[in-house]
Amino acid sequence: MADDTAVEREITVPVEPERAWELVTDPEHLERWFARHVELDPIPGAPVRVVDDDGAERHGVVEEVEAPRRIQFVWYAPPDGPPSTVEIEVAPDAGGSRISVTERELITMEAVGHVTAGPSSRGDLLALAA
Amino acid sequence: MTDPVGATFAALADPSRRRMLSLMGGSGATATELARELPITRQAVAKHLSQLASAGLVAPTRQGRETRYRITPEPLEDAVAWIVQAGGEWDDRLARLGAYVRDDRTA
Repeated sequence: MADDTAVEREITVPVEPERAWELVTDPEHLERWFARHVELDPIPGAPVRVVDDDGAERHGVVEEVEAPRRIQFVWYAPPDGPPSTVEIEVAPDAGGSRISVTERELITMEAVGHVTAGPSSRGDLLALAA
Repeated sequence: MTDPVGATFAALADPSRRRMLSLMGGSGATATELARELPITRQAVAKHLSQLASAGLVAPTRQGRETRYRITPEPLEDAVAWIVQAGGEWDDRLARLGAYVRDDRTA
């Protein structure tokens, strides 16, 4: 289905993809752009902890890693912020490397999958999204 | 509607429908008015409007011979608030990433 619950952004940076991968997975780099404090290991199952400049925290876990081109983690703002997944992809680009980010709100995906009453209403939703 | 949040997001998936919502603003709009502003036919606009109405995002009111559609704030607020906030955060983060890479290269 379409990414109807997603925010998508991308940026092209003038560095090799290997370097771009470090920019998006190494806390030393992440703390220069992603957030003030970042705990993250590009290993499935590793805990994620992010503290923004304003002190707001998000906790999560690394879900999928395909080094050196794709990492996905799930996170939420404790105690009850809506969980979302963040997928970051690195691809070679004419200008260096393209870094693409997709954040999807999980509650909605669950709602689409579980809350709707069976295949017919799900079909309606997909028709609506088409 | 058994799944208002999912239906809301599904309705918002289409860029034409998002554009229509932003064109409606506070005073609403008719299909004819929207068709003037968008590169799609009035018929396509009407179809999008009925989808937005099914998702509870807009409500039709009769106005003479035409139907005026207005945004219904409640279902929109949660879904749009999330998209706007998450999108804004990534805009900020990627802008900082771009600046960081530039600084790093010139350092």
